[in-house]
Amino acid sequence: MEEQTKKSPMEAFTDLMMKFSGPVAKFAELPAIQAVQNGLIAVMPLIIIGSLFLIIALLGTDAIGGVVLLPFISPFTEKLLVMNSLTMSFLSAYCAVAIPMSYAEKLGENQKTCGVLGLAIFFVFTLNGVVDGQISVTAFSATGLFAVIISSLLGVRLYKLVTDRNITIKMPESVPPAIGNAFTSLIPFAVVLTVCWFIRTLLDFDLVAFLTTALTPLVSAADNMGVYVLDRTVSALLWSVGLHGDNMWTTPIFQPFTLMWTEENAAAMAAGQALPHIWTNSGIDRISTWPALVWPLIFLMVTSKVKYLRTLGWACLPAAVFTIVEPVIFGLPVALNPFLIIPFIIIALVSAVFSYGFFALGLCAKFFVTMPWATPPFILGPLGTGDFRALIVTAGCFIIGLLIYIPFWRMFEKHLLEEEEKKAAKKAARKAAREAAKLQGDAASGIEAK
Amino acid sequence: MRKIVLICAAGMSTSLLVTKMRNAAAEEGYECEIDAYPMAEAATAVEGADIVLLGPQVRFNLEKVRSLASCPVEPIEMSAYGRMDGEAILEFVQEVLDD
Repeated sequence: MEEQTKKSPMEAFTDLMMKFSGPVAKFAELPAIQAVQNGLIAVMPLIIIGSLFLIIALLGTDAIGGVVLLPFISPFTEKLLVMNSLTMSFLSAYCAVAIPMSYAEKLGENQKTCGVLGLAIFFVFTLNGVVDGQISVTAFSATGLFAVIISSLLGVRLYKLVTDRNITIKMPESVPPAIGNAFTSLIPFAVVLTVCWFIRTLLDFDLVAFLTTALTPLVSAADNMGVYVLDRTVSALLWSVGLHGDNMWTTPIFQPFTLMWTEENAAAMAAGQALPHIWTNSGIDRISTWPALVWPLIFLMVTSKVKYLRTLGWACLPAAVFTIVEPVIFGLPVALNPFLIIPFIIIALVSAVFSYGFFALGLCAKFFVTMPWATPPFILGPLGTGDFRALIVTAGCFIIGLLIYIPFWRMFEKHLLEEEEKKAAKKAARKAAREAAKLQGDAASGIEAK
Repeated sequence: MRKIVLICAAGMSTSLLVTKMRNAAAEEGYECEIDAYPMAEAATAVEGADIVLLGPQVRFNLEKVRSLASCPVEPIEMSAYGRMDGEAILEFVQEVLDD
């Protein structure tokens, strides 16, 4: 009876989170949203390669910390930047192929066909012809990302609509399938591309320019402390019931923005201008969130009085360095743990305010590149920002986390110790009972033997 | 020969579990192939699988993976996952597959 009344607030919380996560999961599962997400994952290696070349190039200039760190690179800076501008700065062009392909996969259409179609949509819809052997690459950069997302999703949809209506040219069966397929997609391609051409060239409507003037100020305004703190807190709420908050909430909703902001920062850095954004892809969030939410728990575990926590802490440590936190979240556990989820959520909020504020006050240079998400925060920070003060963000978050956890941890540890004592007492009682029974048995058999 | 597929967000945390499960399987001579994949590759990863296990943190994808796979799809129990208890999870697999 007592157990039940103790449990109920926890159950109410779980129910509430499940109710909330339902629609979020539904949104994340929409084929179009998944297609964008998977498309962005596919181009990530190019962005990271571009990031690395940018870092190396900038080491030959005084852009990082006002000193030329590697003077022997200086003569090659321009050449290194070429690689950056053709990979990272062409983000949208790669997405123009990757997003339609992953959308085709979701819709059960031919991926290769839709990849080709996507590239054609991109060209026809964003370029208005070739002038003197040159094209404008404005839309290739992050500037064109939203136009690419919208046009490629709608384009593939329209392609499917036309194909589903069987408005295609069918070849006799004697024609090899490869050739037959080329003709099958002829009419759907023509419809989609004519629509793009009609809008872009005949109506002279430039979606890229339109979105840049209409949407960019709005989108850029989303990079503020309020939205960032909300994102971190909601993500932590989802993790607190054992759901992958970053995967089901942050990535589908914010990744297109953060990638765009990363590229804008990289371009500004390469051009020697002030960086516009604080929130970038795998940047501020990855050097603050887990150092605040999980690293203090590892520290508390390995220094705990409870032996099993020490063992678990050491076991979780190596993965946690790379911000792989599932072993702690489910092993300690944090998820659905009445002692720990309250500080967990408070820390998420406080550490987000602290880290965003730190960058906003100009106490640390902003991220201008992105790295694989599992890069340890103490490497990711200095490398991604070119500023060693990024270490202060990580250390500060760790301390904030530790201070907030300690009172709750004490209660949790005490509870575990009591449980252990109870168990030990029960075990001792059982042992005593067994021995007593054995003695009695021996005595009885002794009597019988006589 | 059973094919066991584990899925989580990036295929990282379940890959930690794969080693433990392989060891447990080798110890009792249970013939199986165990691999971890990210959610993004779920559609191709489930092909030919005898059972698909979902990391608890991505269990919101359960219905979706069930619609992709033609075999049992089950979430991994939270505490066994946290303890990275390969043996317990392998036992669960054998129970579901009736092996």
